[in-house]
Amino acid sequence: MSNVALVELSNVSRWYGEIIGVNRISVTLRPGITGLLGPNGAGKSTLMNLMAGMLAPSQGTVHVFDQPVWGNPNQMGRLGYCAQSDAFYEKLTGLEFVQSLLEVRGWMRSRARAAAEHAMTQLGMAPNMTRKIQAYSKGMRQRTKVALAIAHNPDILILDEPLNGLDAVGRHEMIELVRLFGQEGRNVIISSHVLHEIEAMTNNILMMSGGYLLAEGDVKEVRSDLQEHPHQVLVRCTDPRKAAVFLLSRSAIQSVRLQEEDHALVVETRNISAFYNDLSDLILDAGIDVSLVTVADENITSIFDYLSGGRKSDGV
Amino acid sequence: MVRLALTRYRRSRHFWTSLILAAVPLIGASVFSLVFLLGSGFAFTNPLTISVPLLDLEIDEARMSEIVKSFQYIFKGAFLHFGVIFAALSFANSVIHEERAEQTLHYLFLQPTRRWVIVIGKYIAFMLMALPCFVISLVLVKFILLLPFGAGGLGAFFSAENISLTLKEIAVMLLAISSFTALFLGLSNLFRNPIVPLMIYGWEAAVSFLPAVLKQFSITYYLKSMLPAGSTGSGSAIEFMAEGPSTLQTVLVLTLLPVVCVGITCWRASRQECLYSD
Repeated sequence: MSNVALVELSNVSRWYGEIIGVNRISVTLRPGITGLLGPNGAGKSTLMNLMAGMLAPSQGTVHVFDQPVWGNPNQMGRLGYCAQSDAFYEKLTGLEFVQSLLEVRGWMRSRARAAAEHAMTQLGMAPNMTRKIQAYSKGMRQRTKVALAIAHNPDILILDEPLNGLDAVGRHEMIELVRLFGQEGRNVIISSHVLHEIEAMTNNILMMSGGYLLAEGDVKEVRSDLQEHPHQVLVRCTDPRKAAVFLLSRSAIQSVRLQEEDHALVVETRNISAFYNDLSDLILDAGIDVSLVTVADENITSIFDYLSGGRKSDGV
Repeated sequence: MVRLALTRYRRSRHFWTSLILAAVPLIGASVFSLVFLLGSGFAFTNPLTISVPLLDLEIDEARMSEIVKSFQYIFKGAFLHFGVIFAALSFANSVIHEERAEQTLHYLFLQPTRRWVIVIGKYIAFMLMALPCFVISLVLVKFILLLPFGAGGLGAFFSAENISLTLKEIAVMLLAISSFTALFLGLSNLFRNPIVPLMIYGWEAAVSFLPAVLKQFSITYYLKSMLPAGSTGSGSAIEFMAEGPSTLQTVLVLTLLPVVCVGITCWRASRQECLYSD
């Protein structure tokens, strides 16, 4: 992989009044696909807006290809940006939308039209590109946004949660598309709050939470860190006390917390596979009826709490 | 940018707003014509038909003077004091604020295009959309006012004198649209409070009552000074006072005002972030 720095953020902070968007982030993004992972409110969109030159950093500098991007329209021309918001010029057709914004760049009408048609076709929108955007489904709208982002063949694609709102098929198609972009040699920065989706597209990730950059690097390394993260499982059963005594005798169980008012207990374990075996034994050997088993920390929030070690509560 | 903005405006409420505002003077003209017909001894022969010979009323000097006064009343009241101002008001917010509210601002700000190109492109696009609406309305107003006079009226409508006057009035209309649009555009960038444009509207409406020194801070004052001869009248509240600014002063003000206001907007746009929350 080339060692060229695509985007360089040096001690970048951005705040909105008293609210911190991103805090003292220094990172260099290299060519290829980079995944930006974090829960809602982590600062992903703020970071992407800073990279795209839509916001000025409150502190620090943002350079794209060694040039500052804020207030530099020439640098913006090298970027393709797909925003998270679902806003369009609704009364235009998809083709008109992409074509007209290419013309605003100064492209001739014929060239803009050809590029718009090509981009829309690449995104599978050929049959629908002459329909008005207000008639589009959510998936079509997302694809139109991505088509606009790639139409002018940018050096860097910035995609802010392009999988949002898509159904399973749509998500799969979008993931495949991003992988294709990577195979074509395009540079892509893509954000999501779902780890396995990012993992499906790239090995190179940045993890954010609370405006901080928590981790960066190979996704396998980050995953192995997560493997050591103790899982919490909620078990609802007929006799939580007896179940707690039974499970505490097992080596895979780290701790048990009773929630008697809910007839439940929260089990903490570092070895989820072994725990499920223990759960079977609980039902068969201890004779306890279990009505509900749910992993309490599937969502990314608990993972980030773990990685940040409670840093969010430390303040600025 | 002009093409994109024009396409959007044509398919937006701004077009219908301009169209409706431009149509209001037509209603006024129709009322004037009807009142004129009734005042001339016109009578329905039956509730469903109009007596045809009454469309051949003779045009004499007195009647022509009445028509001119009616037109000037409509031009100043319905066009300058109402239609153009409110059309300009509806546009002013669309340049940046409306794009921000609709979360489409980033589509423009992410282009490798100077911000002033975006602002001026939208300004020109609005002018291209609104001006034809008002010009066509102006011509139709004259036509409706002259219609009761049949062949004589048509002759007066297509006369060289009327055509020359109409072209001058179109020029005044163009200056009105460009000046008010630029003024409200500049104000919308400096003030978020909607009371400010309404205050401007009130100020412009009251220009006839202002002392001479304060009149100079009114766009309408300069516009009226450019109206063709015959604009002074007989005691109507909106009639223009005899003394007015010089031609040079008028041209300077009505040229510099759009330049300054649009310039301010361009400068502010160049420093604006694409932020969708307050």
